Amino acid sequence: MLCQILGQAKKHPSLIPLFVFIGTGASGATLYLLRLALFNPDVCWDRNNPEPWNKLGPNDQYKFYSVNVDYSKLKKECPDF
Amino acid sequence: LTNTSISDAQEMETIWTILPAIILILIALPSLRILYLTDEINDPSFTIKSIGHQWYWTYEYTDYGGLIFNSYMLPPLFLEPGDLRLLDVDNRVVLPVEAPVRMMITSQDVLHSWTVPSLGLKTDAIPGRLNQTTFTATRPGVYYGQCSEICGANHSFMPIVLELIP
Repeated sequence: MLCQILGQAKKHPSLIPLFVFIGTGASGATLYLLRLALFNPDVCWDRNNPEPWNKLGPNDQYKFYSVNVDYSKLKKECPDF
Repeated sequence: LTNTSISDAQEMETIWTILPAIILILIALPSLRILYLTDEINDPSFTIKSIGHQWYWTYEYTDYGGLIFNSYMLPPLFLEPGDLRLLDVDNRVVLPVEAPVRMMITSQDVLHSWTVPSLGLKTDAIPGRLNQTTFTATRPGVYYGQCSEICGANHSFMPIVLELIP
């Protein structure tokens, strides 16, 4: 399929921006899906780690992008148990 | 129906691919930032737990003392004049205005959904999972909502009423 795309790009160079944007969008979507599948604590693959959502660190960031909150600098509000 | 007389408009094609793509990216990036901003938790004044059952809600105010109560819909025979049918409940959720409130929502049996449309709130109540939503109401009043996830025979008869007092 890559050869087809390169062939089309050589014949019609005005299609190159189209391939770039569509390619970026598709790979971005796929990569985010992979990130969710592999790193989201709601997803469980490993029998030795059965409930990853129960083992979250208080200072870890699990979101993709955090605007105002710096998770590594959060103060602890609750007592140790 | 082929355009044999128009051909080879490479510059125009390039422009009308790149320009809309740039415009869309300029729209998308701030929107994604706002989307992540809405998910932030900004130091709530207090936390209320909302537990869905078939077919009523339980509210727990456990920050300062232990207030726990059930909220059932008022049956039509018990309505006073001026009450709203299928919307009013026996015990409302009373909250102060201008205070950020954190709601922890879960369910004890099947899926429910805790909704208050006029405050832009809808969070699923999933058994075995704690979902969180925060809101700050700015106007006093009574806000109604209804369970928004099919949960059985009386799914339409388990409303949510928030009473915001100044």
